[in-house]
Amino acid sequence: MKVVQTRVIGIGQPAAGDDHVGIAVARALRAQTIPAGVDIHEITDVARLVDLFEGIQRAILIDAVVSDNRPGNIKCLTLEDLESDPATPLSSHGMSVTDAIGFVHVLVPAATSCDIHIIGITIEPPSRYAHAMSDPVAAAVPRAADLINNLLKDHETLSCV
Amino acid sequence: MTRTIKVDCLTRVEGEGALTIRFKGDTVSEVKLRIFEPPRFFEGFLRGRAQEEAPDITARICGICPVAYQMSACHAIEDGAGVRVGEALRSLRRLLYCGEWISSHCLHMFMLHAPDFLGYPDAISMAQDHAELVRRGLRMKQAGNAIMSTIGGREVHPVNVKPGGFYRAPTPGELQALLPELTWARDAALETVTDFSRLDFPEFERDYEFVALRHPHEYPFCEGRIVSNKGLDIDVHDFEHVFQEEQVPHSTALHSMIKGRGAYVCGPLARINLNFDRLRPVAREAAESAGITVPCTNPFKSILARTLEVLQAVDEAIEIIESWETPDRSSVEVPHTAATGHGCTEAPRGMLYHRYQVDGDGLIEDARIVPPTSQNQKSIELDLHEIAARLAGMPHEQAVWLAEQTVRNYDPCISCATHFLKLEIER
Repeated sequence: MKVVQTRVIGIGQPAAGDDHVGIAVARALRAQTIPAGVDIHEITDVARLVDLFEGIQRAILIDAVVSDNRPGNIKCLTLEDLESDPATPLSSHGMSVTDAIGFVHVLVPAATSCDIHIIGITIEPPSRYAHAMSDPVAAAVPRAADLINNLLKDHETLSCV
Repeated sequence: MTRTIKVDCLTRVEGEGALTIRFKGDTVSEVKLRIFEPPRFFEGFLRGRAQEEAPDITARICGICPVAYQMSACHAIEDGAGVRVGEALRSLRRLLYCGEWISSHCLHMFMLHAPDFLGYPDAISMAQDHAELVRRGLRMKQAGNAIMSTIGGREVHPVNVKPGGFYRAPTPGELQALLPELTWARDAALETVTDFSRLDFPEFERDYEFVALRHPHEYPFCEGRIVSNKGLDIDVHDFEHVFQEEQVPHSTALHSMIKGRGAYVCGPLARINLNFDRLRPVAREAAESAGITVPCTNPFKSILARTLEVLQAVDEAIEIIESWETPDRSSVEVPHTAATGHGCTEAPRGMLYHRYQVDGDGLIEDARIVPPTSQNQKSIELDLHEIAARLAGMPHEQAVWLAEQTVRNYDPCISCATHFLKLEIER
């Protein structure tokens, strides 16, 4: 049986412009040679994180973020970074990554020792329908994939560009 | 003496609003559910768009019930064009709707509403003592999401729906892959009916007019006459003759009422009350075993109605999948016809009415959308008015809790209705 130690999870919405970027990076990474003990998932609903945190030692989450940086900027975030942001209270329209990780820590006690990296790729606030990603965000996809693969191979501290 | 109680944020509902309750002495003088989220003008920017775009544009009104918007739009466009889809495509629409009901109801039941009954501020806190319940809810929700993803192309805002049917129909193998989780979900839903029937429900009854679709043979999704427990029985085409929306100064959401009668309630509690005999045997038997009976006029028991509807939807989804054969064509042609069409389907939160006036080139000239939260808003205020006397005698924290729970009985989507709740109790 394949033992998964590190799980890479791309979060995003397919066919929804720059909100697709987390999934696009996961797919780009899948096309590369990745070390043993790593698997890659794509999710739209962060509620799935509860199951995906079972039995792993490290998780790398990739998601679009809205920030003051330029679109396409890749930023390494910590859980503390997310918690310092005013999270949207759990609403009838779903849950945030922060909420989902809150559930993970309660429902998967072993996950409290899991090493969690969050790769945030800056996008513009979505204001109109777009199917494809914008140029600066699309250009960030191979850079983010390479960055994560280096992290997976070297087991080094992640340094973002 | 004047006392003001403020809640800065009503969590576990969607949208932005505020609640004010005023007392004169011990008597409630005014209850206002103030919704100040800006209007979204969807009806305005549908004008001039092609009829084929209506399902995808209106789906963007809501991230939790996009299928409902797509279904009501499709039925309205098809009604104007005089088109009806065949049995296979009709079943596929019901299956997609099952997915949305399962997903939407499970999110509300387990994550938003159950904490009210079990005494927790939120689902994450509740999970510390009720881990199995929360895990069950998340997994059941995923079973619904998987249906939407398989048929609709993605879980949120599916992209495979069009007037006349679908861009692509799934293969039997694609749908059968959903069966193991749905079979598990049926057992989980049965267990949940029993668990939630044991919750402690506040004593509360009101004389409601429940309104829902009613189909000759089936529990309603997309078709049927609009009926009520007070004698209403109309065709969907007559919706605007019977229901009217009114502007109120304190809300950017319109209040819908029955002309000459006033407030009414739509949604799971209305559907169960009006269509209990249309439930599938497994849901009816589960209700009877758990002591859930109709008429039920306690809005706090809406969580039970949702639980039964999840069981209903899972069971129907399994049946549709087991007999599914991919049709030769995934859609029927919907011609461009100068006409007005009407559609009303049952969104998770209640009836969703669409009307489109289309010209001979298939361009939308006029559109009207009446979402369920607009229809329920007046009743939410009346419930709060009724319960306000109890709030007056309660400590602040307890009063806020019960007021919020009263609003959450309706699983309101304020964003859909126009579109946080500050609670002020002035005495």
